[in-house]
Amino acid sequence: MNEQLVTCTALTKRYSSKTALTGVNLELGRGRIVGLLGPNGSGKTTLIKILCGLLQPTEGAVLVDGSPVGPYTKSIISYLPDRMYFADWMKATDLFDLFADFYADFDRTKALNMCASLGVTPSDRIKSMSKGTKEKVQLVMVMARKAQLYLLDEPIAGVDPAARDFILNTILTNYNEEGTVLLSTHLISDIETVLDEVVFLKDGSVTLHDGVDSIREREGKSVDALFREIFRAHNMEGGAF
Amino acid sequence: MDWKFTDDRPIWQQLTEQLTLRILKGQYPPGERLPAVRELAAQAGVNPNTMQRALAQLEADGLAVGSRTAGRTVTQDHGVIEAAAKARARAAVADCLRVLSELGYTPSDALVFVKEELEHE
Amino acid sequence: MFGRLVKYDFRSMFKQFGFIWPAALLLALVNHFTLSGLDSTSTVGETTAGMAMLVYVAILMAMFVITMIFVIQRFFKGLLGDEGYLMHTLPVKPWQLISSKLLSAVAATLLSIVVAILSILLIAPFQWVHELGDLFRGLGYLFTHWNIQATHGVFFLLELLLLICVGMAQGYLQLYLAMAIGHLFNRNRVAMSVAAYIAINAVMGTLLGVLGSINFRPLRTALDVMFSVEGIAGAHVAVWVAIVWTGLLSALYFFCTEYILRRRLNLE
Repeated sequence: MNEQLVTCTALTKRYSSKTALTGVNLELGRGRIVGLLGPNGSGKTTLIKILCGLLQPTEGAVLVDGSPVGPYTKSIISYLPDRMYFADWMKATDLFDLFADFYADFDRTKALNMCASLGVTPSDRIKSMSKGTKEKVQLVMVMARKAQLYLLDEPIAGVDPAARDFILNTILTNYNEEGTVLLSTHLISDIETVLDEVVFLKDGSVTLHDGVDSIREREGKSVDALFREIFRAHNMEGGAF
Repeated sequence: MDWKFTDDRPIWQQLTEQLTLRILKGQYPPGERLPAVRELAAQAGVNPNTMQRALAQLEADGLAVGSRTAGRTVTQDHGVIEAAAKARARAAVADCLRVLSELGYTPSDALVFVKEELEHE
Repeated sequence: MFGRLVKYDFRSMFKQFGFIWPAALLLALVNHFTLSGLDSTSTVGETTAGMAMLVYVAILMAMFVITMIFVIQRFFKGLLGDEGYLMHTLPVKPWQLISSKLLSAVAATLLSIVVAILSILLIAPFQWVHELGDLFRGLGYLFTHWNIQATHGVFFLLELLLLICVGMAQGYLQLYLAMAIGHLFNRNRVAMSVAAYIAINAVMGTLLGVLGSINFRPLRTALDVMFSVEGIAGAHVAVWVAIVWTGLLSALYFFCTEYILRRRLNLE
């Protein structure tokens, strides 16, 4: 077992017209809940996709538990994308079968219990489910794994406060304690208390990586307030919010 | 009682204060087992590591005993609880005096206010 | 892990064809009765039979259209679209993903062909079990007539079948490669895939032309020797040359696609 769970070295991702990440160096330990914060277009999704192998970096290297991205790292990463990723004809139980087949750390009983507490009927067809229910199913699949790294891309974007509390509670009560949760968001105030540490991404670079309480201690203000300060210029240019 | 956090201070300190208050109020009576870290964290909507740190402070203060694995209980040492309650009361009075002095009142004015307030009741 | 991938791709295949295959067979059966009971004096009967035949032909055509859609969609949507987020985060290697899609694509095509043949046999207004026996006897006569040993004949048929499968794989892998190239673009991925397909054809055509014009003596001699083989042996050689050539092309397309998915994956 490697000391650092995630190590990114000089990570750069360029598209033909723009640069999404520039020389990101980042180390994440184990057993942490980390907020990946930044306005839209700051590179959060790109970084997460590189970690789970959906994008290849232009330069630099990524190690997860000491290994480059591949079948092993995929087997220990549980990824919640920013979109629905399953075929419509399946039922939730079919998806659980699929996860149980491919991920040794998937706990089917836990998934069914989570469905019960979330009010999801797992024998329903995905097609017949509402958008909110589909999102719950996806959250259940991701959190019912005893993964080492949870990558949650904007899990609370565009949901009402009740749903947001509910999602955060689900994450808090279900994640594997030896594992690390990396969750990206641009809405910080509501989740600040949930986080151990935060990573600020600005225009594809890490501008800050520190513990939530050490920031509060040092700055005498919340991470949210600090975030607004740092990104204010950005907002006035008509950016993210 | 809900958990409330202000923006200006570390969350773990605020957690310690609120847990202490619960013990002093008897919400967690002496000798009673405290909920598990994870459960408390979920209740408060905070990170388990943060809650862990707050509980460690409670232990350092002598208000909680036990370990993470065996579970923590509220201390049965009434002396410790009483001392903590008194410290809390003194802090409240100090706060009150600070506000009054900012308004230009002297400590003897403060005593008058307290007496008047008591007579009203 | 590979077996599990295949399992899920086959499940989605049966889901896709679960209606059309039985429907094709059922309509063939209906036609069997409307045709055999056809009374040329009755316009009603004639119209019914005509309609039934029309529907049957339409379903058969739909079946092959669906097959092509299946081949393309399972790759394009399943690996390069939103579903790709699931497939590419499974702990499997890209070559396993491609192979699994290819296997289900070839299987779906073969099964559609089998269903089509079966349905024609079903329509035929005679006792086809009996006639099938005749068919094999006929083949036997043919072999004797051409002075071919039955084992040779059977092998030859198997070789042809193999060639069909490899040819199919080559065609599908070319489609896959074109889609993989198309997905590298951030815009107009479908148009880019079509363009890539045409480009691959052009490149392969040019390549063949260049290869054909190379006057490499040992190769010439080898080819001359190969094509001078006569009779059944010659047929074997010809089929195997075709199999090897198609196989080589398939391998080339496969490795290029695999490289793109492994090193250049670009899901939006």
